[in-house]
Amino acid sequence: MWRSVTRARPVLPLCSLPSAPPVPPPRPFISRVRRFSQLQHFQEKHQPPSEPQPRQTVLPWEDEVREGSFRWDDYNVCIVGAGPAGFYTAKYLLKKEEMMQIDIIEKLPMPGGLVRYGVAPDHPEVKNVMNDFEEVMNNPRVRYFGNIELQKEVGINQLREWYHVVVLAYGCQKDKMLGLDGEDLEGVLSARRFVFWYNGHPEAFSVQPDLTSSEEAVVIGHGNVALDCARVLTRKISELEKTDISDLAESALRQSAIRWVHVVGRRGVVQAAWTNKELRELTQLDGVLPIVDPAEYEANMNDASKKEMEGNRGKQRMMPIIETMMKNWDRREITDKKIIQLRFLTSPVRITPHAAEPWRADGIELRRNRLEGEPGRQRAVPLDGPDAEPEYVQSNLIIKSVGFKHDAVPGLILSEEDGSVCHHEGRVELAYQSPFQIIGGLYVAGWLKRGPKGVIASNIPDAMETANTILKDLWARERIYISFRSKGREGVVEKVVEDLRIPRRIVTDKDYFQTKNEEIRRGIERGKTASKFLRIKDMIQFLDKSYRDVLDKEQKEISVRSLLIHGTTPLLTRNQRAPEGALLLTSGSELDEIINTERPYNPSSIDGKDGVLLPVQYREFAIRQRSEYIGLGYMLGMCVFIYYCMYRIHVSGDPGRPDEKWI
Amino acid sequence: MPPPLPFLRRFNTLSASSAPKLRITFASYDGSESTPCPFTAGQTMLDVALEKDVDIEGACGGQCACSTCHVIMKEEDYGKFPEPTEDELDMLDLAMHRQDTSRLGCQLKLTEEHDGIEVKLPAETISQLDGPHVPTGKE
Ligand SMILES: Cc1cc2nc3c(=O)[nH]c(=O)nc-3n(C[C@H](O)[C@H](O)[C@H](O)COP(=O)(O)OP(=O)(O)OC[C@H]3O[C@@H](n4cnc5c(N)ncnc54)[C@H](O)[C@@H]3O)c2cc1C
Ligand code: FES
Repeated sequence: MWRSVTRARPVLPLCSLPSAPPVPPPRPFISRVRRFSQLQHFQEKHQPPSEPQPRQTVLPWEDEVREGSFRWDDYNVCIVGAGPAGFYTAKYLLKKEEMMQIDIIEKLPMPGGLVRYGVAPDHPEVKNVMNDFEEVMNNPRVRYFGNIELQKEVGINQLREWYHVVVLAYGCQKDKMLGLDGEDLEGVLSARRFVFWYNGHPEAFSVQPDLTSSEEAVVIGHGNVALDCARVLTRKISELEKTDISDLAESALRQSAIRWVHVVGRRGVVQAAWTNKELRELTQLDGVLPIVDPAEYEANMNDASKKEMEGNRGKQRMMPIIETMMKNWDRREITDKKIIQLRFLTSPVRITPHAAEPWRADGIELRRNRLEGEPGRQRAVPLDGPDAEPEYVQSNLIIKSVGFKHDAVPGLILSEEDGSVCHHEGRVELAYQSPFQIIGGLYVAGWLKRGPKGVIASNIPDAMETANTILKDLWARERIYISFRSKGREGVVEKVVEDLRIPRRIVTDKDYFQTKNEEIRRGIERGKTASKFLRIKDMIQFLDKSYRDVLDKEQKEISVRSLLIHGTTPLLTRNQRAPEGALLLTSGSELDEIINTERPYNPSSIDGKDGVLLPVQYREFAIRQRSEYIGLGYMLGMCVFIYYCMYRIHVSGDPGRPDEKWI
Repeated sequence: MPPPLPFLRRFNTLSASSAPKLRITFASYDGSESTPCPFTAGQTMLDVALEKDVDIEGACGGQCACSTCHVIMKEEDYGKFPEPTEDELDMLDLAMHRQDTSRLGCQLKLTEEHDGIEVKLPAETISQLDGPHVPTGKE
């Protein structure tokens, strides 16, 4: 190791030469750095505790003081949120900088964000981006930790202490509200919950949309997500059952009585936010008749709307699709297909409770609008006069698809207009009661940065911008932007685990691939592309069990097996580090070693191995158990010996005198 | 060794010219960088670009579902490919910095006819590290 070479004991000089400046140590290459820093970390941990130092609050301009403690051997970056934004940021950082070490932290066990839990199951081609993301996870410079939630398991300031750079890419976790009466009744769902339900999101396990009580459903909103909901509600189950749709949703949709879905929007065709691809898809579905009321269409195509359409190629190409739907209007009464009706200039007024069961929704009141204002800024204004008569749609399923909101980490300032985090080229600005304009080491990407709009591909230029800003700041040693308190990322996960009140199983990249393969295997059994785990509990149980199976094969020791089955054993995988003093067990023979040598654990022995992590008290337990076995064996041996002696004495007859047979 | 017989030499040149090197060039939006890529007939433009590590994503794996393989053709080359399908046009609507001669690389099958053409990559796929700041699609 280069340290020991450069610090060789001084030899007496033979003649007095001018002392040469110390040779700087060679720059170690990356793998060595990691190994070394692990060792250093280990040594630090096992040093006797020094006097507690008063904690310094450090201001950004005082970095010089700590320059020495800062290692520039590698850049430690933490990305919070494993959605498209997080992965694309990681991808570009890795591509541009060799010394990049990235940890990705995700709230859910499985990565992918809305690619896994948002994109509709009948759009498997969109989910192909996961291949790209898996490539990032397979990179040896990336570690993935699922099942750790920012703000619950780990705080943002903790992360800023451990990493040079923290990138927030946790998307939008809340729904916008409509502010209607009856919005909180049972049967009124946000599109997010409904989408999570059919995609098997763990948070939506308990959602049970009522698909059987009424024939009509209402979706409020004119975006792609609204069309996704309408399509899943009407699409033939024979087509859906082959996808990776959640098993629960599949069986509920099989029983569904819904025949007519109203997709309601307060403005017109030109103002709708959906894309042509999704709209066209409706016209190509088997067993579904998309319709538009020609009268409604006429009403919204005023001069201003026509003007809006003029310069917009996409909108112009939308018109033939809408015209096809208008032609379907007359067939609505005679068809046996399911109907999706796109409704324009219609706003919800209130959601009415059921008469007998007032906790659930019975229907929705709609009112008609007209458009007002100049092109590009038209607003919906309620009609008055005889047309203002509200319309009532009886429905037990009302889905609000009117947008998402951020769930901001306290301290982050959200911009007024679209509710995204205030930032400049990806650097978070003005946060944390700090006197500084820009907060060091904190960056944003994705929906948190741009607001909840755009497709997956929109995250690419956005992630590039954030990655470039990060690299610029790192390369320029632009201290104000980089959290200089970074202590390195080793042991981060252990610190997180240590601090937990309720133990949590951390899911790694390896676990992800294992779970994914299991989901595909279960899917094949049921004739689907995948059958997702619907609860975190089930997923963790599966992972723990499969690890135990592997270990069981290796282990001959009964005592160990009983430990594994009865004890809660945190599992340790590659690159993870055990808490101090714990025992790492990778095979039966290692248990011997652990018991005999009382060796706590040696980080280098973990390198690249998987195993079971036994808390310290298990050593005592195992030692005790072993000594019990030894004692038992000893006593058994004694019994046999005594019995034998008795037997001999019995055979020889006289106990008092030695017999010749003894000799 | 005796010199090759004249008819054999003829044969050699013939076989070499029967498999000519086809190539297509990907240029950055400002023309500062360009990568010539060899291809064989039947490959899609996206495949060719990915082989040579050109800065192009192809996130959906060529399924016409992401518009990250957006390329911009020269006017004169635009006609050399079959008309885009409705699906492709729908995806192109979502591409940023779209132009009249924009196409999706994954939908373009290359043939001998396309030898020597040059296509441009749209602004946002270019490394912004060295270049000027390019506005991201915040619309
Ligand atoms: C229903 C729906 C369907 C869509 N369909 C399509 C489509 O077909 N095609 C398309 O191109 N685009 C589609 N989109 C858009 C696309 O999904 C988004 O543009 C993209 O996912 C945004 O990426 P993101 O990384 O910013 O956010 P997300 O994908 O939401 O990722 C955020 C991640 O952070 C995690 N997280 C949240 N809070 C925390 C926390 N406290 N700690 C740690 N982690 C946390 C989340 O679990 C999630 O994994 C769809 C969007 C929705 C809502
Ligand atoms: S690669 Fe996705 S559209 Fe071409």
